[in-house]
Amino acid sequence: MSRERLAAFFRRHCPPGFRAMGAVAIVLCALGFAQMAALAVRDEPHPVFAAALALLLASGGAVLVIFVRRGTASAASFSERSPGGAFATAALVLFACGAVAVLFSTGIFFPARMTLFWVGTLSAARLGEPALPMMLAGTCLVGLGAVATAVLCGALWLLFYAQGRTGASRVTSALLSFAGAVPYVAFALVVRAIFCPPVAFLAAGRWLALRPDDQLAYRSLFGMAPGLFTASIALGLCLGRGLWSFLDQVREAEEKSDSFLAGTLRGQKPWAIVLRQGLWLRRRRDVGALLLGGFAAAVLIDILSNTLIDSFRPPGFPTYPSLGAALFLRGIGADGAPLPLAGDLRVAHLLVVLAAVLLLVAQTFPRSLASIALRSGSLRVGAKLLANGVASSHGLPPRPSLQWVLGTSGSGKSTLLKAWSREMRNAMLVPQDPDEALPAALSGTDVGRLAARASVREDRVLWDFLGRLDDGRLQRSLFDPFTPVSSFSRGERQRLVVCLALARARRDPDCTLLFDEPTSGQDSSRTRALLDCVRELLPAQFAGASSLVLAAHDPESLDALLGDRAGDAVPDHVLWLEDGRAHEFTVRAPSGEARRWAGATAQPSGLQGYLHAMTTLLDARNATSGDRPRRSERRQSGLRLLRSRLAIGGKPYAISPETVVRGGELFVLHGASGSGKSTLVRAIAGRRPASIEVGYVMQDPGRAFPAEMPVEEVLGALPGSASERDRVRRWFGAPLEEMLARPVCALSEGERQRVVFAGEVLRIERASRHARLRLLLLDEPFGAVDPSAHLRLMNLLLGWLGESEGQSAAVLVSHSPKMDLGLARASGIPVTEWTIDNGEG
Amino acid sequence: MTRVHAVEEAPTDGLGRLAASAAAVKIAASALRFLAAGAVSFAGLLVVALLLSSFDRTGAREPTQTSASAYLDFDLAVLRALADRGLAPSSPAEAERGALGLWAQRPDWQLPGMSGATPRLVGPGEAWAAVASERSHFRTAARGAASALPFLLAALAISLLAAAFAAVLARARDLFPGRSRRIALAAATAGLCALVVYPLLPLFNSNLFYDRTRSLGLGVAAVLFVAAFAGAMPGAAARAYLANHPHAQHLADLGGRRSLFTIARLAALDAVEWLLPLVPALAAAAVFVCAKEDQDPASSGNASGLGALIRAAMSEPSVAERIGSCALVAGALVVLWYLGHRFLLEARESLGAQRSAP
Repeated sequence: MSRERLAAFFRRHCPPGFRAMGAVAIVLCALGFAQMAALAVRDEPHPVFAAALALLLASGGAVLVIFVRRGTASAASFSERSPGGAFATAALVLFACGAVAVLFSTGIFFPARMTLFWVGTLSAARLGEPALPMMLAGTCLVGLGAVATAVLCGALWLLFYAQGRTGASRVTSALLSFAGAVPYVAFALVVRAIFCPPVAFLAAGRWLALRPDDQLAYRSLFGMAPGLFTASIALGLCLGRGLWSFLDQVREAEEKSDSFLAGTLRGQKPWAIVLRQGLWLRRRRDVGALLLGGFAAAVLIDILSNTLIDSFRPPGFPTYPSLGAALFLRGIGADGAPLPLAGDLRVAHLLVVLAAVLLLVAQTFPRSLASIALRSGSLRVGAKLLANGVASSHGLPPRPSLQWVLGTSGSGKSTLLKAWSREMRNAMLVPQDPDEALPAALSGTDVGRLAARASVREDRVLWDFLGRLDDGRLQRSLFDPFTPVSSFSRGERQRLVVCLALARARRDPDCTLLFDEPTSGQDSSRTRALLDCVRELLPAQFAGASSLVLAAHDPESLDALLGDRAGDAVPDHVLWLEDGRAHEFTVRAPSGEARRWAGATAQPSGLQGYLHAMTTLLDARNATSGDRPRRSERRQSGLRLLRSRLAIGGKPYAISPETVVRGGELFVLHGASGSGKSTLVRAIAGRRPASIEVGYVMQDPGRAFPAEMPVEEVLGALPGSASERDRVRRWFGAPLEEMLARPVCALSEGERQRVVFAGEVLRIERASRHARLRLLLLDEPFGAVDPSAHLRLMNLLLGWLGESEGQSAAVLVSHSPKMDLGLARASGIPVTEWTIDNGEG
Repeated sequence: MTRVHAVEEAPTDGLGRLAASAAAVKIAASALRFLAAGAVSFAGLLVVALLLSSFDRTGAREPTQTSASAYLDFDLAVLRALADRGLAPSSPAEAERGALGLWAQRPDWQLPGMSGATPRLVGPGEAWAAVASERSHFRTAARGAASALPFLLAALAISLLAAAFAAVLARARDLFPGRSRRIALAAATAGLCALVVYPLLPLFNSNLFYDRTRSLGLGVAAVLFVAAFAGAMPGAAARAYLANHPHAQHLADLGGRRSLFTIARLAALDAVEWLLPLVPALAAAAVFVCAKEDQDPASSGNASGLGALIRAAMSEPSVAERIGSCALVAGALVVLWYLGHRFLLEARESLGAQRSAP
């Protein structure tokens, strides 16, 4: 095999990020298949056990190879090196050294050599095989067999899940749980007690007793196959139990995810989604850690348990091929005490334990993420340059000036805020994703206590802020120590994080706050209230030395805050990011006049479009601000998609009989954040009739899809013809071809939303030739996109509805319903408002 | 004259008390559940023992055999002869003849004889009497599990504490300014060595495994050995130190040094996930330290029980007797595994909020 082919083989079977598991899979396969082949030409003392062991290794290895191959078929490539990988490599090299030492000293691991040995080609001097490599190899083989058993247990779980055999799955889980709970030391005792005299360990015992005539028969490791096989199965059940319960957790989490719902709508099988997304893309490192850590733990347990059993061995009780048997190879001195351990036995022990410990510690390293750096005005993520001409945090204007960071989605605003926050000692970043700030395990009371611990009475300040936002539910949650914050809606979590930051800034005037889209998940009234709270941090006479930085797309925020302290002659500063370059402007808005932008450069075209879109959206909002909420005048019959009652957050809600969907119409669903809009949309998607083709754009694709999923998979339907490519380009707003191979985590939130949007439109258009209705469910699709993208997507959506001749409809969850309703009414598309009231209604 | 201070009562005034009460309630509930689990598991062991005692397996004693040291001396002599053979100028055939000559001098080696007695059922009263007797195998197994359990629980507890401490060390190096930062960094390095490297050292000492005259005792060293076995404690500490959870940074920004308690608590919660699959390995290690202590001639402590039971399991005259003893060892280990697992689950319940809304 040429070097290139070898390298290609290695790349295919040991992809980056999964090299150790790939290597273990190859070793298992090679060992299993080679020994099965060797069985045909060898006089094996226990052929059934030897064949079973070889089959176990080969089948476990084959399952692992398939898992790795299937997972890497269309995976985004990651080439960064991590210390964990280096540790795992070192451990496997140590194990490999042990195997090579055995090979060169005995020929045991090399089937061809073994065959030569059997047919008499090799020297007879090989008859005196050293015991130590045999024992090392035995211990390693037990570990590998345990991994193979656990892998087969995992495959069985997947098979049951694919066939929907929940009953069989439960029974097997219970059996496995009990069997896996029996630690190996007891299992080994039972096995020895049952099998020892007749068959199994007799071989090992006789071999270790070095009777030359028997040695010929038992010189190979597979001559001890019964012992190795039972030990592998016993330890593998312990690992399998852990793997099984891990897989159940993965399934449960995956089935609750939006990406699972999206995958189901795309016609994918649940088991395929769990395997691809839940297991490979989200948790493959955990699977690797479980199996590799299990391998190391199995090796250590094997040493320990055999030492324990052998140290209590009565006279005549056969020993077993592991390091534990070493005790009996050194003899007892004249005084009756065991002789000191020989040097090679010490080294062997050290080698195996070191390798096992390295393999275990390797699993503790987190995946190395690309580092964010802001140096000499260049903002980079890893090696990728995001923008030039970016000032450091020292250049931030002090309050009451407000530093804005604007740009199209994906231009690097969030990255810049992270870079600034790391440069400053006394700064606090409020991330766009509230889960980055609030651990899921904390309760509302914990959050309140956290505030109280930070400063006396800060919990009271937090309470007041929540009161100003008219958020009685979150206020009450401060007195609920048993409900985790993860059960709150995204908007509620975001409010909690923002209010904590506001409380911190009120306590410490020298603390710089960096808000990343603080209102993206808020309804209009809460947005206004939040902005009022932010405005209070910007008094005309500010004595502190801190800054306030705001990155926002929300036109409401821009309209409310940008330059609105101009009456006090305080300009705002704007950093506009476009095409890898930062442009700085100052903005003033004298009372009664339009905002004045001043900067060293002319306004880039992107900024002009941005401001124009913002103005259009605000005009649309103002056009509808006097209207009362009204339903569509059309009263033609429609499709009822929901049952008459629905549980949202544990509370029953009555669904109005008028909640029906009609073709060619836009349905705007709004309500306070946390009221259950996303739950309602998911309920529609979950029980769609067969005659309807449903597309689903979730609120948070960044969390829904695994970070490493390539964009082409998120897109769902790859554009084929030129017209499809053109359509995707129009919906996404830019050519997508370059992005297809990139992982979804490399995209900004806005880009992810646009990718899913474009993909779902393309898919339901393709699949819906025979469908009665094409229904697009849009859960806050404009929450993270800039105003120009918002306007463009809204216009495309309205155009799509208009051109469909009554075959398409869309349900749009919106936190800026006035803007969206205004645009829809202006376009002449029939529109209906849906609202959710609190409580029974 | 009495002065009256009017103090405005804030709506959040009772938050501290509520949090403390909730924590106490959670800990008490967890403790109760753990005690109940302990009672159930030992009752299960009793049921197993009763079932085993329902069979009368009296059989003939095996004949006295040659002592183990005779075999060992002989095996050593053969090994030495084989090792020397590689250096000697003689031919392989001559060496083989030499080995065969050596073998001819070996004492007769036979496996223990099997008892042919068939087990018969006995009444419940007799079975109970057998179980309740002072020297019953059940008592030995229960005593063994009870003596190994503190090692297992202590090892799990210090692993959780190590994770919490490592997370605090990781944050502390960022929270201290100027010179204090260097001191904090040095302290963090030393602390990490103490948490990760030091506990692993006994694992590399082969004498602790293979020397019948050595043991770890029944003190801190034994607990550390159990905690370090299978990388439980070092892994938990390393994971907590190296973790790059963004919320830890956010919590530190929010509350400074005062948020360290919350960071430590979250690290301990995270460590539970690491420790759960390792419980069977730690249970085996706990049995190991107790049994080694039994075997150590320098030790004057009481027998742990499981060591005696393992010895019994390997020297019972009949297979049925051996299986009975092994089943009790297995039962005791399952009790250990179950209680270790339960301990971690209860720790998770006490440290975090419930996973779903009530």
